[in-house]
Amino acid sequence: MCTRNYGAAQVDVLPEVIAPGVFRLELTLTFPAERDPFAFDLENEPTVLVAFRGKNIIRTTNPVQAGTSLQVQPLQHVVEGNDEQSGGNEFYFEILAGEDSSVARGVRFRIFRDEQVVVDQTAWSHPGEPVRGTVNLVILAPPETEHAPEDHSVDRD
Amino acid sequence: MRNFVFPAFAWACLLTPLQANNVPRRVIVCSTTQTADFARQVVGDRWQVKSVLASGEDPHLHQVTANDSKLVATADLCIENGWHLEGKDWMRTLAEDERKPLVTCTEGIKPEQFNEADELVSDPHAWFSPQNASIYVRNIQKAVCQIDPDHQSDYEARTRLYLDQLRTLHLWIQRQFNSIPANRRILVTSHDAFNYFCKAYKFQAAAPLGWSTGAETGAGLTPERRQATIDSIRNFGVKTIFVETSVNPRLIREIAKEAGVEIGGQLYSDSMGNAGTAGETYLGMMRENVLTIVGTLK
Repeated sequence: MCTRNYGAAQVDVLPEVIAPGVFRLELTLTFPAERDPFAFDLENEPTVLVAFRGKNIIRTTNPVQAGTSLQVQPLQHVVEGNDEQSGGNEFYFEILAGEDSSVARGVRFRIFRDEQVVVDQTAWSHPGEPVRGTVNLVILAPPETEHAPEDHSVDRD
Repeated sequence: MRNFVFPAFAWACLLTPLQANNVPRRVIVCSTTQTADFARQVVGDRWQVKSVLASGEDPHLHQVTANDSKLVATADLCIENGWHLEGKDWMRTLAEDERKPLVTCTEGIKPEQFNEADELVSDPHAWFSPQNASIYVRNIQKAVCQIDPDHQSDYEARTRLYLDQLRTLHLWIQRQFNSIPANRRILVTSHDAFNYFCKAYKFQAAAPLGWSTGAETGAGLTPERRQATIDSIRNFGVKTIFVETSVNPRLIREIAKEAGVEIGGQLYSDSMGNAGTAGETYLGMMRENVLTIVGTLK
C-alpha cells in the first residue's frame, strides 16, 4: 500500500474593504408572491426572501401584490474588490409564485449607489416555478487617480 | 500481500456503508412501495428503509404474515398511507402490536370522498396528485426529525430538493396533457385509484371495481358498477382503457372485449415497479403512466 502526502492548500484571506457610498436595493415584483403548495413549510415559508452575504435582508411570509417595490436602505456591508470570484457581494433571492402559476414570472432587481443605478436586472422563472437566483454586485476599488469602473452580473437557476 | 490487503479493505467499505463508529442505522418500515420511496428521499442512506409490500402487490388485499410482524419489530418508525388503503388497517395494527410510532401520510390532505351506502369513504389514493405527495413527504420529514434531530438539516435539505422535483413533475404533467383534447380526457382503469390524478389534470374517471379491490364499503365489483363502466365507455366514445400493474387484468380485458375497445397499456397504481424498471420510483411511475396515457389518448 502506498500513501501520498498532499500539501495544505494555500488560501489568501484578504481583508474586506467596505465600499464607500450609500447603497439601496429595490426589488419589484411583476406578479403576486403567494404561498406555494410545494413549499417546505406551508405556513412559514417566506413568499419573498432576499439574502445578502448569507443574512436575510427581506423576508416575508405574507402575500405581496404585483407591482410592489420592496426596498432595503441603506444596504450595509457592500465590499470592494473582485467579488465575482469571491462572492463577497452575493445576493440570493427566492420569490414564490403561488398555486396556479403555470407561466414564467419576472422580478426586477435594482441596486443604487448614491442614487445612481449600478445593477438593473430582471430575473425570470421557468413556468410555474419560483423565481430564484443570485446576483453578484461587483464594486472594484478605485485606482489612485481615476474613477473606478463598475460591473455586475446575474446568475439565475 | 498487496493483492490481499486492498480487496479486504474494499469489501469492508462495501459492507458497512454509513456505519462509522459501529452505529447501526435506524430503520423505517413502510406499508407500500410509494411511501417507502418518499421515505428514502427524506432520509437518504442514513436510515434503512424497508417496505412490507413488494412491487406489484395490492395493499387492499394484503394478508399479514409472521414475517411482517418480525419486520415491523425492527422498526424505529412505521409509515402507512392511511384512509384504509391498507385493507383492515393492517399496517396500523402491526405498528400498534409492536408498540412502534406510526406516521399516517395522508394526515392533512383534503380527501376526495365517496358516499357509499350512507357512509362517507375517503379515497386513499391521494399520492396520485403531486401536491398531495408533497404532504406525504412533509409528514415523513417531520416524524424523522423528531426521532433524529441531530441530522435535521440534512433531512430538510433533501426534502426541499424533492419538493422541487414534485413541483417540476406536476408542471411537466400539465404540459404533457395539454396535447390531449378535453373530450378525450377520460381514464378507464381497473379500480377507482385515479380520482386525485383525474381531478388534478382535468380527466374524468371510470372503473368497475370501486375504490378498493378488497371488501370494504363501496369496494369491489358489482354488476351495476360493471355495466356503468361499459356505458361510460360507449357514451363518451372511449377508444382505449387501461389495466393496472397491481390488479388482475382479467376483468378489464373482459370489459374491453365487451365494449369493443382496446387496452392502452399498463398503469402503475397502488404499487410501483420492480427495482431496475422505469417505474421503481414515484417520479418514474408517474412519468411512465403519463407517457402511456398521452401516447394512447392524444
